[in-house]
Amino acid sequence: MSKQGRIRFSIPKRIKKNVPFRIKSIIRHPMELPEHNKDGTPILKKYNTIHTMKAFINNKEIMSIEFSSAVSSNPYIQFKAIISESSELKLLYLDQLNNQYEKTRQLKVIN
Amino acid sequence: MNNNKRNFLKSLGAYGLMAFNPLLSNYANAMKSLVENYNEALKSNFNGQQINFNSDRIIIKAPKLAENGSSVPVKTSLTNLNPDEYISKIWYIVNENQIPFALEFSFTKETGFGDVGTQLRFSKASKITAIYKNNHNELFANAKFIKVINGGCGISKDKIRK
Repeated sequence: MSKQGRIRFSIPKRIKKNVPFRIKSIIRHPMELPEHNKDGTPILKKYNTIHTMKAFINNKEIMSIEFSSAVSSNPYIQFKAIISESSELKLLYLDQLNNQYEKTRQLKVIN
Repeated sequence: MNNNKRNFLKSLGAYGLMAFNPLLSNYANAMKSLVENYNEALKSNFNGQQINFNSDRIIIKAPKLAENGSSVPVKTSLTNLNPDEYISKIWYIVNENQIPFALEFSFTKETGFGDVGTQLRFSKASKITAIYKNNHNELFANAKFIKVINGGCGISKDKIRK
């Protein structure tokens, strides 16, 4: 449980100006599945699942994702982005138990 | 004699139908609910907007056969992206899951290349549909069938609460 919310993400070593690059991110999270009673009725309670992920560049939101329970545990996401100057990338995950997990990294542009 | 035989066969047929009817109706209901889930999901989210369901622009990379349905890698990308065009939304729909909508991506101009990937849960063999929306509000989609051996949605019978 202590490792829950640990984010790892990878970016290319060389980022060129105005050329799309791929960002890959994975977070350690159980993404609990909804449980059902024996008669098939769902048990209503707060399940420990991530519901939103957001990506920021220099505190400007560039992408957001809404998750459902159909996303596997330890959610993995990859997407492409473009930047024109060196900046700071922040990934933010929010879960149903009101926990926030975030990680930032500097992006250096090579001309 | 002929009459008796005919009556006997008729009654046999009637009993047979009565015996199988509940099973048939259950199966039909289950199928209906699945179709309703998917259709309702589409209706509620797109308000009857026209979607081109066989777009060649979307390429879905996913295994044809997945042994474990609890994490199936799915990647989609887009070809022929015009210079003045970017993708504003992407939806992933697993048609046969109880909740078909799996993910909703929202992009800006900096990230709207339509090149994304994730890992999804499949309850059983199902189509994965990727629906793209561009900045001109055009909707286009493509789908791929993925056969799953062990479903990954739902909890095993041992863990069901009593």
